[in-house]
Amino acid sequence: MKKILVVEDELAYLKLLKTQLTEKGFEVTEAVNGKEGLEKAKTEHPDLILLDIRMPVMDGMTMLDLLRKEEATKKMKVIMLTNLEPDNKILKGVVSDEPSFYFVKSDIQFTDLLNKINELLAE
Amino acid sequence: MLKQLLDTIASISDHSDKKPHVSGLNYRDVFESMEQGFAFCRMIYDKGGKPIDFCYLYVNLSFARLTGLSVEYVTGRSVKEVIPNIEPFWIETYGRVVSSGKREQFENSVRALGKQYKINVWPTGEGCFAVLFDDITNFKKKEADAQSKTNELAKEVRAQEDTTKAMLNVMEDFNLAKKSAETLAGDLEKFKLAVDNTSEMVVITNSEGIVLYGNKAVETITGYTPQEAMGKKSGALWKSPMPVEYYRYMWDTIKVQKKMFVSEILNKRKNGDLYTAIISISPILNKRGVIEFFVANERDVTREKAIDKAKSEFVSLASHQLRTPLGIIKWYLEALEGDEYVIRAPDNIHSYIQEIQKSNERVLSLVRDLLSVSRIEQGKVKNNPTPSDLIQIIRETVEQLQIVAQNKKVRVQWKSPETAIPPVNIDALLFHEIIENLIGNAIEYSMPGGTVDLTVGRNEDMLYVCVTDTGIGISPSDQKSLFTKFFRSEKAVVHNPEGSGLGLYVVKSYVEGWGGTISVQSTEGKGSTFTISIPLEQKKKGGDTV
Repeated sequence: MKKILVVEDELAYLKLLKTQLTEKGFEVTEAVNGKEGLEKAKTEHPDLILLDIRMPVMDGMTMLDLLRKEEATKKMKVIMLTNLEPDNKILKGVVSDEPSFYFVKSDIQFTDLLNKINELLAE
Repeated sequence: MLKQLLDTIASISDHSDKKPHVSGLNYRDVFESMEQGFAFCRMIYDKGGKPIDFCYLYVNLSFARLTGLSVEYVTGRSVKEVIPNIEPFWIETYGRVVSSGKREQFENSVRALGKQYKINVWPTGEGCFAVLFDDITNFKKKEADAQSKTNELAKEVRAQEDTTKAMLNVMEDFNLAKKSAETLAGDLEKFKLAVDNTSEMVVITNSEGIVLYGNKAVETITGYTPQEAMGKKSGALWKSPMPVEYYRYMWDTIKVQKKMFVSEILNKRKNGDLYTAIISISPILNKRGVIEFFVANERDVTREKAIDKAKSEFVSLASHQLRTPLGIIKWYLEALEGDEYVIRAPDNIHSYIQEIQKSNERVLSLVRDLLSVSRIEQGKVKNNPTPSDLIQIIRETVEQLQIVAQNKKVRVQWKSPETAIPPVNIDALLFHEIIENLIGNAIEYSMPGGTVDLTVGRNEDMLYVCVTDTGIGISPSDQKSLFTKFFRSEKAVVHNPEGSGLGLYVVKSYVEGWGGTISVQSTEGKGSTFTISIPLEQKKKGGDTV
């Protein structure tokens, strides 16, 4: 069973993602900010991380940066999930970060996300 | 007494044989002792009876004295003999006296003698007449002198009068001038009061930019009193460091091109606070076109800007906050739709879910537009120009919208341009948003069976895209407001109540941000054509704002 780490401060989203992904047969582990997410990434070794951007304590972009700096988490697959429009900082991060993808949550169907997850995990 | 004498002479002449006989009382002595000149003459006529000369029969001593002619020489001679160039006046006048029998009195001169005489002449019968005269030459001279003096005096008086009149006129003019000056001063005072107290800062400088005047608002806005600013270079006190190019451009506009300069400027108050102002500087030229001075006014828009910013930030924040729950609803609806229990549910359940989805999407799309607008207004549009194949983007957008078009039974057609369009350094996402908006609108406002035609081409160094529909059209008055935020024509509202009125505003903002233009041609009931043109050579290197 593939393990997905969902880093999301919005509890409604967190719950939604957890229930839906669990239902689709994934093991889901949760974090509510970047700091917690970074720790879980190191300890839980998820196959994929769904990462929100705007979060308290540590935001998603910072977490992604730190993730890429450590050998153990460097190659982890990440999908950025946000309701922010892409700005320069985000795009730069995502463009230079080949395995990562970027979605504006409210613009896509959950199915689109699921397809992308399956695609990434099949690699 | 004289009359008696003359009568006597007359009687003498009556009884004389053309020669005066003086007997008894020695009348001759009387004549001889007279101060006045006396002559007794006989008229000489030509054959036609016209007087042509007269003969001196007798003249007294005074005659000789007053005429300078001797008695001996004159007596018995005709006047023409004595004074060959005698004026015809004398002969004519005496002839008239003789023929009319009426005495005459007059004054006249004999030029040959250089004298002027006062004459008394009367007829004595039988073609004779007597003349009694005075030399009035000197008197006349004196009189003339007196006259000229009088004239001079009169002249002087007139001059005096003129002067007085002139003075009066001047006084009057002066009064008028004073009055109008007073009126003008009053007007100026009013203007000054108005300028002094207006809420906009007004500064007048000389052509070198040295402050000559500042109104009260100078202090209100900058914190410096007008007195502090006076004599200094305008803005020296409240200038905040703007780029050198800015000031160079400003001086070039007002001093070289002599045009009005209008700009938003960041200045610094006395207390160190920065403030934003709309500044306009006008050069005031004299008749020869030389700059006399500059008038600058500044309106403090800091508060308005802050309010505007707060508003945009609020919209942005609210929109983001709206997106989260809307996004959650969206995904749960999707989950619900895919739920096995729901799949088996009756059709009306499916249609309820679809209605909820539709409404949710509508709110999401409104939020998306609001976010675009707030980003435009905050100058936060993310412009990431990369060399983009615009034809490819258009192709993808058309394909993406085919489903919508098919649902509305509208045909979208286009063909690639004949000339190749080189990659343009442009933000692909924003360009996509523009094309999506234009084609989306064209489909939305078309009737079933209508067509949407897309023409793409190159006009010199511009790329143009025309989107033509056969839709409801836009009235000329609506066309004017079409590109303003939240504007929706009545017809559009009827046709599609769900539109936000933001799409074209967003499109226009992006296109103009790239140095392009957007225009519309439309006939109500027939359709519309929207044309955008964008420079193929994009100068901007990207950044936060379009």
